[in-house]
Amino acid sequence: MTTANGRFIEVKGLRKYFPVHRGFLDSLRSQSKYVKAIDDIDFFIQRGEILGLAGESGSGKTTTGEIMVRLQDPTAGGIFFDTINVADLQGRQLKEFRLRAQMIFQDPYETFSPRLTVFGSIVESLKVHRIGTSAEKLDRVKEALTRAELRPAENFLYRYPHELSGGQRQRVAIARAMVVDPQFIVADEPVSMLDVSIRAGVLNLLKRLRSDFGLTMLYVSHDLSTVTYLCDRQATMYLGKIVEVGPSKVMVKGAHHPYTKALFSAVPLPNPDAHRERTPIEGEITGNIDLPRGCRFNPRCPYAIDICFQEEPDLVESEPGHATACHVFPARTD
Amino acid sequence: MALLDVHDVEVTYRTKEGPLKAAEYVSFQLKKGDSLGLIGESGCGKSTMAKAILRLLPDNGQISGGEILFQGQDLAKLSPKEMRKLRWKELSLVTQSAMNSLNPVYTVGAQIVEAIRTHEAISRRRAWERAEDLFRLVNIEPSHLTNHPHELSGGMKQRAIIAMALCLNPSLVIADEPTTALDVIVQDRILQQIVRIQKEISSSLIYISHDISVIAETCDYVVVMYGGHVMETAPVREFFRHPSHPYSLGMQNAFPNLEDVDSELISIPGYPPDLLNLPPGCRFSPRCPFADSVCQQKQPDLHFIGTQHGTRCHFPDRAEAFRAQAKLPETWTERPAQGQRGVGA
Repeated sequence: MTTANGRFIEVKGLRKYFPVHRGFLDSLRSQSKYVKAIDDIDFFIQRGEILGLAGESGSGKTTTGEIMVRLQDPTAGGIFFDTINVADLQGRQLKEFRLRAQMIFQDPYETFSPRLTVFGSIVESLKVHRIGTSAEKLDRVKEALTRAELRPAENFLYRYPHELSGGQRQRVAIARAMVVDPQFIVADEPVSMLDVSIRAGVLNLLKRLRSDFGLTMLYVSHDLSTVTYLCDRQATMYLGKIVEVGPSKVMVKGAHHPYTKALFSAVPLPNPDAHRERTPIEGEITGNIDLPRGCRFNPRCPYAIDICFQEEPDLVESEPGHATACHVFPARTD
Repeated sequence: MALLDVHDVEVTYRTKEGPLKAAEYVSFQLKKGDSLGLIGESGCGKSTMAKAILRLLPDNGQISGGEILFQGQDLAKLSPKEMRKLRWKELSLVTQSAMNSLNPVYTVGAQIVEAIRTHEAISRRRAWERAEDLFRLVNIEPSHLTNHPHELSGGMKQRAIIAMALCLNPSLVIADEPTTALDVIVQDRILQQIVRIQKEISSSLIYISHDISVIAETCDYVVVMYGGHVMETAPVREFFRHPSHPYSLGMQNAFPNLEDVDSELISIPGYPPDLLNLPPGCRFSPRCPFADSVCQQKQPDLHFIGTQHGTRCHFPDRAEAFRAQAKLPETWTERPAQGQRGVGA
């Protein structure tokens, strides 16, 4: 089942503000300030699609991923999954939702209890949800390991995390997510801690899970080379806003937003003769407490014009499915 | 004469499970002003080599063979005191988490001045001026010298560390994954600066990374390490045009490339070897799609197939054929019939 307009997951007006406590005097002056980690974003993911969420640290991409599986609660807005709003779920319904949406974290060294075996870590979710008899549990754990290409599964069941390499651990993390047969997975930088020769294998595994089980995925990463490889569409976030969204293959050839361009042009190429044209953006990502007036990217933007310092740009579609939030872009032809 | 001549170096760590050879028969040379990229995955021995050159191995590690000739003297034989004089002045290090090694209670400027004055008899004022120049060199406003480390962003701290590493004009800078903890845009800017500065002050550079694209853009020469051995060594263009060792071919296949977004990545099956339980023959043989029975029994030598291009493979003359076959995914999907697969580091 999908939402009315054929979208599997739809995020609307999502906001996440964290209050900043700056001390006693400020509280008297009642100047409550907020870090606007996510500041009114909309996007959708189709069934069986992998959407990439790219940006530097501080862009709000991880928070977005965590809210989508309700590891964090949104300040405002909705996440519509079929017909339900994930943001409203409580108690038993929330627990049921967790069977459908799972998460894979960045650091495969820290997501496992060192005292639990691989079996112990994976079976935990089945226990929590009271799924199956002990024999069925064992079968499901084995099947999950096989799906994550840890074969033969028997060799891994009773190993401890410290006996596994980084790549194997990340596969166990994938098995743990897969054991409850989810429909949706958020993968937050799943390969950034892995060695290069192992990375490709994990990325290809995610691709295969999508095609074999029709999984829908949100892939969060700052590395546009992996985002472009894995994702059908990608969205660039900057300081809590989506500044560009479009098909990966289109964006890699011609990104519109200066920030997306900069992210693409900062990726080194495995070719000593490549001369990358860098988009010259300045400084580093600023904090999102006191945002600049107008476009929040204006302090770093080499193309900023007057209007960029006055009005915040909206996401505007330039061709079907490709939208950019930039005042300058529509006038620029390069 | 080469500035640095690493010759048949062997590094052994004492562990509970017995002696572990983290590097063996490692040889490479580096001329003044050149840069060399040491590529490999975790546990391949690349950081061990950095520590061995600087003689900063942990207590249970020692250089158990070979020589490290730096400006003609063997670093492996120097006393700790002699070594201390060379470090920083002649050989400096930038590490991955270096930005966390700044002392939080002193200003960044004070720390740089201290480093300079420990090695050179110059006034505080002159040292401060040099620190200002260095900050300009790494594109930080010199006024930030009076900041404490927490007042700087991660990228600025890492650049401050690079400035510190350069403050005594060392002949050799070793950068061990200096940008991995940073965001892409900051990483790119720092890479550009490292290359520019290295050319400007004409020091030599050893750049250690698992990221072949970073090496492609920063280095003149490439040394590929795997399981403690040098598997391939070549000038950078030669390495990317005519990679010859099957491991190098596998690495290049596995690497996402924005210039070529349509081809599938091919991963190398299996995992890096367990150094305590190494295969008897070629260390890559359990994962190598071209491995023969000889590969499983006998360790290959480093064969030179060009003046500066060496490959540690029993079949150096089949490199051309390997290159063609390695591009096909099915070459890598059929797992080699036998061979242990280590648990990895």
